[in-house]
Amino acid sequence: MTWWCAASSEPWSWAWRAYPGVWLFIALLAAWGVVALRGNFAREATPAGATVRRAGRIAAFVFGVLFTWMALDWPLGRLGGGYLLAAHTAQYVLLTFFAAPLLLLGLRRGPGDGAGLPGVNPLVSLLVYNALLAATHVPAIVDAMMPTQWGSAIVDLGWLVGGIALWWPALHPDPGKRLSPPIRMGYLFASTLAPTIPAALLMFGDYPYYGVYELAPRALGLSAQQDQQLAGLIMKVIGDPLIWFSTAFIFFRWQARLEREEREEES
Amino acid sequence: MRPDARLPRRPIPGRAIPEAPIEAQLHRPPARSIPGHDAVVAFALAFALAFAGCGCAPSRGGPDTAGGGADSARASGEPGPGRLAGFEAPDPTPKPGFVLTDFDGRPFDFRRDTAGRLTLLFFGYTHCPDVCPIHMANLAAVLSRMPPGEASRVRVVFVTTDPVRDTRARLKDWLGAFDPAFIGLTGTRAELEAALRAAGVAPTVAQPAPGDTSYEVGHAAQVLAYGIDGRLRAQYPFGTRQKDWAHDLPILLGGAPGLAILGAYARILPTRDMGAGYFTIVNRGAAADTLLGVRVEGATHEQLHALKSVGGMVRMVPLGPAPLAPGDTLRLREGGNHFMFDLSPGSSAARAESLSVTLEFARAGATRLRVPVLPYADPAQ
Repeated sequence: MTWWCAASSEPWSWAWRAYPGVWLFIALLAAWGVVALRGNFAREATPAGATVRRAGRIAAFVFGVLFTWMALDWPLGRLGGGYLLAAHTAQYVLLTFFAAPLLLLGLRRGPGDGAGLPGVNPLVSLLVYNALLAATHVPAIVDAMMPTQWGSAIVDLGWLVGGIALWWPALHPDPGKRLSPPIRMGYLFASTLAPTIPAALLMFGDYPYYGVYELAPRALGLSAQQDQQLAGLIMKVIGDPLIWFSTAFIFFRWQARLEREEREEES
Repeated sequence: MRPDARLPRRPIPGRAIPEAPIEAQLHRPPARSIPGHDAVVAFALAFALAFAGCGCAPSRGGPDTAGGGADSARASGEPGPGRLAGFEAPDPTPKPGFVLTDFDGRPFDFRRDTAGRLTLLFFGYTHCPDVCPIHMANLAAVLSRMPPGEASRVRVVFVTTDPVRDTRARLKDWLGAFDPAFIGLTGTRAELEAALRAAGVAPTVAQPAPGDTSYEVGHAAQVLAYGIDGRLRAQYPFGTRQKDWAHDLPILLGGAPGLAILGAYARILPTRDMGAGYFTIVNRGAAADTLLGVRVEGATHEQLHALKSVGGMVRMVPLGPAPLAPGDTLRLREGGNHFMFDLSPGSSAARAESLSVTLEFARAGATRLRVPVLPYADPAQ
């Protein structure tokens, strides 16, 4: 029975496929989110503007779940599972840079209400994220994992876990445990360094690195070489600008706060 | 061609081919294990190690001792120095003789029209969803990266196993999309079956229902590589990677007509200023030839050496031109004849993983090889 997208010897087609394992995971994630959000809301006071902020958190979580679903299910999950490295990389970008931060933003708590959630040393987070990134991009590991549903599921969920590890210090549900803005900016910048290596290797490699994609029936008219170059491009062109955007956002918010505090002191 | 029992069995779903070679049943075998990738934990180091050692360069396994190189197929893993990534033919049978029609409508005498070229022969069909386009795409990708002079010495010949749907125009269009230099051949069913038999390839299986135009054809999945001496050198089952072709094509091209150069490798001293190289040359041709000398790209000086016992002492003396009569074998090996070269320690060649070596033959001319550099082994130990 096929329950998760994995490499297949069938030629690629746009015929819809069901992946019940993905649905089950998404359902569990959504159900857990509902419980967590309700618990968060129940513990909070409801000052002015709380409703708007809650709507924003609900929206963030819903979009986080939707991005996770989009990354794992047909068609992207199937394409990335065994046909196109570019699609596989798009899954990585969606899970790590979109789904993971949105899920964390959805679980934001009011000040002081994150006591049960540990803060994590940013170096540990970077280590976990980069270790998962490295392991899931090593050709031998990818070639061994992707032809099996369990292997493919582990890689996919590893990216989600890696994404959460990456964003945890920057978007900790408890604002009191988040990194300060300047350190957060440095942290996010540091997170973009290691992925440059696989991205550059993919873009400039002489030959395809991954047998599972090189020997796959071709899809969407891309040669194995073009597919690999596109994958490298996606990794840097989508992943990095998102981090830069986040860094800029943090910077301007921080600046605005400093100015506000200055004005308040002056008055 | 006998099926090689060491090849993994993996049936093509819905496409079992009774009595077909095992290669015909290969379909997306798991990518070969790549040594050195399993212990990756540290992140940045892991990236560099993992990709740098991913097998895109020739492997650096142990040396192939003289004489044994060519005659045993590689069972699995990475090829040894000078060895092929493909399955080396235990019996270098001559190129099959058959005449078919090329996609321009001209008769194509396979043996005559590919003489003197490295010839890659494949039996497939253009409606094939996987094996055929992947083989062709991988070959085209690698040939496009080879120096034009070398690529032009390779002939890729695609013989259709589906003459009904593979019209000459379709063959030309389909192959042209990969590489316009690829040659497509067709013929009557009887002619094609005769060609398959001549090449020692299993017959094809196709049982389309009346009116069915989307049927699949069961066919052997291996590319047969005939050296420029006109003999079968190796077979490449489905699963052969671009890096394998990139590794093997220069080796397959390296042989001067009739001369097989096997098991070539070199070692460089830790001081990086000197090295030695070894290989075996078998003259399988009908004409005598003579090895005149060796050149190593990046070296300042090269010389062929022989070890001779003089007055109870083993001395290294220059080896003059080495004649190779038909059937002769010349072995350059550690502890015996070899070639030495001097390097500038700062040169890129001194730290290269492989060297470009040119052998000068009196008759065949210059033959260039890519020779892997193995770690230095102290002969005193």
